[in-house]
Amino acid sequence: MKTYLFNPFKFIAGYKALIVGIFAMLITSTVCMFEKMHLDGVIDVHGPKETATYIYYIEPLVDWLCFVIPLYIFGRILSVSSIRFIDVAGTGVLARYPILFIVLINMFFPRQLNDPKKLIDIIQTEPLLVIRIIVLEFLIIPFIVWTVALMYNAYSISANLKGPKATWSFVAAIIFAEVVSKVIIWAIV
Amino acid sequence: MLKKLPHLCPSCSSPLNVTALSCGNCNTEVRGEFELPPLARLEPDDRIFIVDFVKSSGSLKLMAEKMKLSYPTVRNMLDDVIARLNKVENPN
Repeated sequence: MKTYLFNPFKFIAGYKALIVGIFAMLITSTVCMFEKMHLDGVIDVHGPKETATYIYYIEPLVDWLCFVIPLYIFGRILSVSSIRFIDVAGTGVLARYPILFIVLINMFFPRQLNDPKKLIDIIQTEPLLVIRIIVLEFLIIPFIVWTVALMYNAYSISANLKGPKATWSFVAAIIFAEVVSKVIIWAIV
Repeated sequence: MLKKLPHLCPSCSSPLNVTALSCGNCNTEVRGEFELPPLARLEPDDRIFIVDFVKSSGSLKLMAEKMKLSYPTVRNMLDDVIARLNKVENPN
């Protein structure tokens, strides 16, 4: 069970993982579109903010590519195995499926969260709102940990890397992807 | 019970050699000093993996299907076996 949750890539990779992952990505984007949420970073979910429909579908694509391209380059340099881009890309997109749960939890955040002035007024009149926000934040944390664990295991399996080499290259790729994806999305929107 | 072929000396961990071979049919014995081939010095699981790999015509894709594992998992297993084989061939 633990393997299926944290390392399904032992059983699924390549095109199969790519198809399942893209399907999950499309569902996530559709939920984002209805809820006006934005996946404006590798593991970022923000909103609500109204934009053109295509933006909701472009954002996760940018996040995913900004993440898997540096991972593939690191894999080619550091791994002794002959790694395939389809494995890095396929497992990389499948690893993002828990973001759907993060988006679903985000639906319960107060819509006024984007406007700090309004939020302060509401918190003063509705103290229960603070508890709601804290509970939701705590609910999101395990899903973020789950997503990052899946992303790491996807990279570890598809590039056959373990230990410090895998850890520092993964961290470098995630920082790079976070910065670059934000810049690209900012430029598009 | 499947007997595990020892390939390292339990006393000094050096590779063991074969000194006697016998015919199971007529009990003829051959004595000498024979080195174990590298494949025989691998763990049983690694030998089974190599046999399956050869039977799959060296196709990792076919191996992955048979083992119900993903392609990179099987490729990583093969790379691990290669690393152990290199270690067996060049222990230093």
